[in-house]
Amino acid sequence: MTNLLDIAAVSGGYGQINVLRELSISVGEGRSVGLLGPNGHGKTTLLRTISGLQRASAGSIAFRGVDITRMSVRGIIDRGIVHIPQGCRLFPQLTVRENLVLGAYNPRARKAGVEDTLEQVYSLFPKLAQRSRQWGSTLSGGERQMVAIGMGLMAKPTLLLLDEPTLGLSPKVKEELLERIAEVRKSGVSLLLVDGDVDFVMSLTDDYYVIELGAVVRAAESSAEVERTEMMDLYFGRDDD
Amino acid sequence: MIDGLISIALSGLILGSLYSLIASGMSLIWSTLGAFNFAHGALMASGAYFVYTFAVEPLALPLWIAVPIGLVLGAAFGLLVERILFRPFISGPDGAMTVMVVTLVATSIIQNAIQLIWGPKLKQLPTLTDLRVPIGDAVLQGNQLVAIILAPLLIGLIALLLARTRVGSIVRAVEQNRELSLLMGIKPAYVYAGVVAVAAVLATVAGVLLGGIQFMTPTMGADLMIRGFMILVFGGAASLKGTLIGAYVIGLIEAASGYFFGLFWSPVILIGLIFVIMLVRPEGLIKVGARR
Repeated sequence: MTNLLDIAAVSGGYGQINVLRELSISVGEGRSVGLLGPNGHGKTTLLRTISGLQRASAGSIAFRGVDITRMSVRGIIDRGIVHIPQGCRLFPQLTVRENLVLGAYNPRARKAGVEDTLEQVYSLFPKLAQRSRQWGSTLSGGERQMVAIGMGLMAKPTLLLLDEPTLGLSPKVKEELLERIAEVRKSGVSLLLVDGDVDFVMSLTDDYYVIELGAVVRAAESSAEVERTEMMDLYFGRDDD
Repeated sequence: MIDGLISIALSGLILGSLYSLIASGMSLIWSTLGAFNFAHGALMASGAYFVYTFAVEPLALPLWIAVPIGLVLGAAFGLLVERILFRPFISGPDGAMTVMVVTLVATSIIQNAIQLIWGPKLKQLPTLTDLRVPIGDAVLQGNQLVAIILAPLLIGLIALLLARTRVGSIVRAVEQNRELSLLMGIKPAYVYAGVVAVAAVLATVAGVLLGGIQFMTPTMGADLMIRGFMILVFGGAASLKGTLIGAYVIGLIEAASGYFFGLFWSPVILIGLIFVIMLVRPEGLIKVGARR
């Protein structure tokens, strides 16, 4: 059976600097996958390469069997891959509603009905409905993240690439976000999730990969408790190290 | 004294209207592409000459046909300028600086091309209306009247489109975060092209109005473009509201200084004022986070 996403021996990075080194991962149909590993080892670069913001210098990326390695960002979105980047994830001087509606810019999302999807996003994040006329810049960090995820959902994704959604959020807001993203998962959207919070990633994904120096050093199912402990040791170093 | 004040107010309004058309286009380009277009004055001149070709020589068509054709050609020339002078450089290293240098060089090329195509003889466009409105001792006539009415209407319309329409929110999105807008599926290159085309149309309108008030020359846009830069400094480069207010304030100051101290001193006073503003409030007198 064809995977949703197949990344085969992808290399790439910034100019002459190769961040990704023959990296291979896959996301099965209906599965969600976490990417873990130290900062600066290629997780964000991988997401940027999948969404077309950067070009792979070698290897291939296939989505449902179709090669998207050289496809434009727009072409990739049209296929259902939506990337919510790290950092500034919304347009600060647009209202919440304007931000969300722009999420549905692609023709597939518009065909699905912008207002209907907007209602779905508002029911998932009721706070956004209350703040629909507020500028993005006036929102809290958690609310901004909700807008960012809402924008991603407005695009009617099949696969959502989420980069560090909990960065800078309080534990309480993280908990709320986790519940909301779990609901998004239940709706049938697959995730490729990068986050520094290991528990957050493990709670939301079926499988995970650990990436170090641009290559996969470990892959396993997120649900295995033993694996999880070992992975955390690998991630943070053992006590006896 | 009253007549003098009326004369200053009317001159200020006329100048401010012409300046606002130029400066608003420059502001749009600056806020969206992040670069100053030094060829903006040349866009204005070329627009005026396009209209001249259809309205006077050789075609001599009625103005209601010639002006729309000239505006379309002005927009097309704007698209060409964006494709050749902006797009290849704007995303590269030091893109904004490269664009400024390239457009500065292009100004000279466009001005010489105008001279080559239309010749060195002085030319003038017919006025858009023969209407005359006496106010005190002064008389507002023809294109002066049109400029005063049309400029704020056009700029207001653009501000409304930017604030209230889907296209406007797309332009503002690209202004605020190019990469994120790309991830929404927006093509920033198309937005850039559209913005330069709209700015070129505004410059063409200014060219047509000015070309009916004074003689046309290939360098007719140079002075207005310098005023445009002053206005952007004064009003804040990213704000259409600031640009509009700045244009009228600069126009009024120029008219008043010309009246009281002579035309020779106007640029000196303006540059002195801009110098002080840059020292005291470098972001411009009207601070706006982003366009709305």
